[in-house]
Amino acid sequence: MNKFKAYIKIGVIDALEMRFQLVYWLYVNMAPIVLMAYLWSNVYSKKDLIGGFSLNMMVTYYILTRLFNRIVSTYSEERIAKDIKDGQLNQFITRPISYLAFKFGERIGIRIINLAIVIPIYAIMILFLKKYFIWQMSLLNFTIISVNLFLSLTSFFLLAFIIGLMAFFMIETHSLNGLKEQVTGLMSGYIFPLSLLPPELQHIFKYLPFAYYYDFPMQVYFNRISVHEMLLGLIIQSIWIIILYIICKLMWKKGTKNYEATGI
Amino acid sequence: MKILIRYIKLYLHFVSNCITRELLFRTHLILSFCARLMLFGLYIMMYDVIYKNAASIGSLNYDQALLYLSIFFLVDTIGFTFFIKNFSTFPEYISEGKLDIVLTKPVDSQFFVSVRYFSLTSLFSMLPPLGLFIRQVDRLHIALDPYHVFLFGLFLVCTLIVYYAIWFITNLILFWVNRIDALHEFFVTIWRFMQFPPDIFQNVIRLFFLFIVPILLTIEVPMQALTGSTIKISHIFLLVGASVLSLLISRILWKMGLRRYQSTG
Repeated sequence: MNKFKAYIKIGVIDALEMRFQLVYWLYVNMAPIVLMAYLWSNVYSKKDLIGGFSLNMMVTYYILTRLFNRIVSTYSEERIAKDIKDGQLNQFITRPISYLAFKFGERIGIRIINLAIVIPIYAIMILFLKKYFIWQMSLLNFTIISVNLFLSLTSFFLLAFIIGLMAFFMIETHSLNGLKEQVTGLMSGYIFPLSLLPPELQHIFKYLPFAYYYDFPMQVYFNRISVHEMLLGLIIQSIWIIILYIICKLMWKKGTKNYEATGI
Repeated sequence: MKILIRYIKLYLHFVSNCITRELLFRTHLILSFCARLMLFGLYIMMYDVIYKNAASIGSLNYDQALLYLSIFFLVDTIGFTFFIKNFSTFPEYISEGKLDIVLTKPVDSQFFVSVRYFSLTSLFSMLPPLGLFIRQVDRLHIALDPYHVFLFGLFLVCTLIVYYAIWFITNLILFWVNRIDALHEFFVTIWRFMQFPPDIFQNVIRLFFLFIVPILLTIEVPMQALTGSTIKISHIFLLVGASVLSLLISRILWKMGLRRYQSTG
């Protein structure tokens, strides 16, 4: 009986800990959006339109880009690097399992569970900021955004995989993650909409994979681009996925040749 | 005095040990520096975007805003240099039971867990904000007389104490809730609110940052001291009071946390 009570206690503590983790998640997700809402409210008190964005559009932009981030971002690189360094890659090399496919499947699984947590959080957030939020979803932009998010998840994962594989060639890859985050932050429109940047930079970013993570789906959401541009965007994104996949394959081939099985 | 010298010597050993270790990974050092440099550049770009669109943040003009940003990043990089590695190790200490070893050492445990690790990368990351700071001081024609420099230094120390104490306190949650991933980000997320001038915050959130998590004045007051602007006496009291009180609370909570610590994690 005492043992059973102890099990119940463990269960309660576990559930409580999970609850705190959820509250923490809620906080970590909401805080930057609240900050941006304050910042832009102040900025827009002196001007109605900045870079074609109204205050409501800007707040909607920040809420949705953070939601998209929760859907597409994968941080597999550290795990992959750890597998390589600790020699845990052996089980994948000796078995008929594709490491890349395994990791990608694993990421999708994690994302599905994550979404169950994240969607209620964002629903609360939208309610909290409802006077700013613009609802502008049609069947067309919903379809394009859904396809785009899946492609972004794939592209984000392949990028993380490439950085993770760098552990074959470098001892410490943590700094590469940081660099990737900053590059992505700037070129994807995560920090601010790319349309606020000079046109030359916008033009360059259009041909890189990053802009399709956040800026592109928001352009689609606000109907700021034509159907032709939407389709072109998806094609560019698909081409980048092929390029990143080829890089992954080449790195894997070269890396496994260097791999010493006991860890590097 | 003897104890102080002992602790300084010990700290210098910690620093030299960490530097030796970090210098082994030079590529990592350079890449980390580049990442921080990019982060800094990103915020300058954001300020640029806002001001180029004929808008402004709070009551500051572009040059004042950049001075504010440079002080924010200076405090941030100093804080990261001394504490990031320590506070991200907290789960190992508290949840995994590694605090046992610390408690058996003949040294104050709060001191040890707060400063055992030192980040050379973050120290290098101080250079870009320092460069911007010097540039803005020059552009704003700030006369660096000893009185204002002294006040600036004094308030900056208060800011760093608040920064340390609140960050430390937020990590102590682990004594009560054993499992929260990346808890050290808790404070960093709050702290990021101060990267923009505080007059953008009104009403409840302003009061929150004044009295509950007292970081609202941490950049503004030192900046006002440096530029020779009038500082409200109440603001000085609030900043100095916050530094003393938060340090005291950090000590009390650490002692309380140790009583809850179960050694096995």
